[in-house]
Amino acid sequence: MWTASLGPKPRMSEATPAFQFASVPQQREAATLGMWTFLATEVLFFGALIAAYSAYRIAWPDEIAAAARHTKVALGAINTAVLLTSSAFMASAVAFDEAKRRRPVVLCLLATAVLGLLFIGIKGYEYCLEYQEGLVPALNFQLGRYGGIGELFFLFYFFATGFHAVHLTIGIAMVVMLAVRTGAGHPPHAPVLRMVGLYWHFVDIVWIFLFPLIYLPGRVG
Amino acid sequence: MSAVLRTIWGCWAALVVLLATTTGLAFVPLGRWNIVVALAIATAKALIVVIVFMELRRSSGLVRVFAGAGFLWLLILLGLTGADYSSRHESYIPNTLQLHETPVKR
Repeated sequence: MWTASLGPKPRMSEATPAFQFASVPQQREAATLGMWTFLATEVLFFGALIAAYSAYRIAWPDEIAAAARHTKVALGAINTAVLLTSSAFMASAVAFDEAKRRRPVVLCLLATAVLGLLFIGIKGYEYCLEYQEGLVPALNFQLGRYGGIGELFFLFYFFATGFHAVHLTIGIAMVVMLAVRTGAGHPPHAPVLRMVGLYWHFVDIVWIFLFPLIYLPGRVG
Repeated sequence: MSAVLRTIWGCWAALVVLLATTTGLAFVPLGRWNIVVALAIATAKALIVVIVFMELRRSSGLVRVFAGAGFLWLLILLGLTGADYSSRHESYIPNTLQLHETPVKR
């Protein structure tokens, strides 16, 4: 570990691994394993939410479908496309980084962050519409005709999309930080960009499953 | 370099097509197959992201095992939750309901 007594902090680049590693590939392997371990805990975090939702949906399919019809499917689909595109830019940033082309890396990271912010904006607009329609549980819920189940659906909706938005916000902050540091000529340790990429794609995958579970039931008839 | 980018954006095009397909099919009456189709397409999209964007195709065996472990635990979570709910019957609830079902022997 670097301390002040060792003199100026050495600049880490693609060629030099952090001091506890023998080589850059070894450092990347260790970081990747650690990131996938963290992601496994995240799988269970969102998995528990989805398991609870599935139990309700199997028990009360019609009530859940009737409530899900009140979500904004067009906005949800657009947001899915936005997030898929952001993931493609993130993957492109990693590809450009491997080719040691700094400027396209920064541009791809900025595109990723802008699309992430666009997603949050559209989600916020949806929340606004849902508040106006009286769909927010405990605040102004007005779908009494479906019993308590409609409220349960929207409780899940706000929890799941809210936690997803928190994850995405953390991701945007990391991507912006990476873009600024890379653009200023101080890129972080070799595997950091890849690790942020893994996290970003994972948040994308969570949405890939939330979209059909939340927005698509009850669209027939 | 350009080959990698072509793969990435080719996958992006496939993902968008799958998104359009799943959104469109949600409005087609397929009965209980609606949810099956939606989840199958979501799984296909997730696999594209995991294998190409998250570079699992280029990762070592150990990394793949770690990635698979998370998925395996998710299956246990969903499987046991489902087994619990699908095997619950009212007769398991003690007292009140059971009194009507079991004949009283004297």
